[in-house]
Amino acid sequence: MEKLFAVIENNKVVNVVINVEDEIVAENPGKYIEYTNGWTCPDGVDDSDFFPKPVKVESAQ
Amino acid sequence: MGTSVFPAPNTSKTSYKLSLTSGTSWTVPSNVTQINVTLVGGGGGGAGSGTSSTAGGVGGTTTLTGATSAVGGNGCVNYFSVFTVQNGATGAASTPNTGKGGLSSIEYGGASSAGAAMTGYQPSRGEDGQIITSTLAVTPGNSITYSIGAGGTAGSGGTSGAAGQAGASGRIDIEYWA
Repeated sequence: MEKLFAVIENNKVVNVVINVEDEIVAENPGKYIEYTNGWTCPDGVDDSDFFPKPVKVESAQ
Repeated sequence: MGTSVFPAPNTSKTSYKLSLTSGTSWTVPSNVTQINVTLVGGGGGGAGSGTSSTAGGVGGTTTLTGATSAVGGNGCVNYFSVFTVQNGATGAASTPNTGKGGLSSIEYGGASSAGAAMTGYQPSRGEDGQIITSTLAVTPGNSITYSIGAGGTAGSGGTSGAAGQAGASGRIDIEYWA
C-alpha cells in the first residue's frame, strides 16, 4: 500500500509524492504531510490544484 | 596492419535495470560512472460526478537530482457547468507506478440529468504523467536524491454522482552497466 505525502513549502503544496522514509519525514517537520484520498488541504495552505475543492455545478434541466 | 575500434568494446560489463518506487535516495554502485534514467510523473486524478463533485487532483512530479523532472498529469477537470452528471460509477483503480491518469466516474455510464449519455465526453480521465529520459554522469558511491510523484487525488462524488479514481503513481527506471 502506497503512503501518500503532500510536500508543503511556505504554506503551499508544491508536490505530492509516495513512500517517503519515516526518518526523512521526522527530519523535516511540517514539510511532509501524509494524506489519503479525500483529504482536505488545511485552511491557509494553497493546494495548487493538487486537492481541488467541491464546485457547485448547474443543472441543465 | 593493425586496426582499432573506438570506443573499444567492453564485453566485460553487464547491464542492470531497476525501478525505484519508494524512498528518497539511491547510492551509485561501484564502478558505475553513467546511468540512464527514465522518470514517470504521477497520473492526474479522475473527476467525480454529481452536484458539488470535485475535479481530479494534479499528479505529483517525479524528480531525480541532475535529471529532467517528469511533471504529473493534470487532473480531469470538473467541466459539469453545463450538465449535472448523475449515475456515474466509479471505474477500476489505476495500476500503481504506471503514471496513468485516473478514470472519471462518467467513464462508466454517467448520464446527464436530462438523460443524455455522457460517456465519450472528453476529458474522461486524468492526464498521464510525463515520461522523461536523461543520461547522467555519476560518481560511484555518491547518493542521489529523488522523489516519486503520487497519483493525483480522486475527485469526490457529489449528489447522485460517484467518485473518480486516483491517478497512478510514477516511478524511476535506472539502467547502468557494471
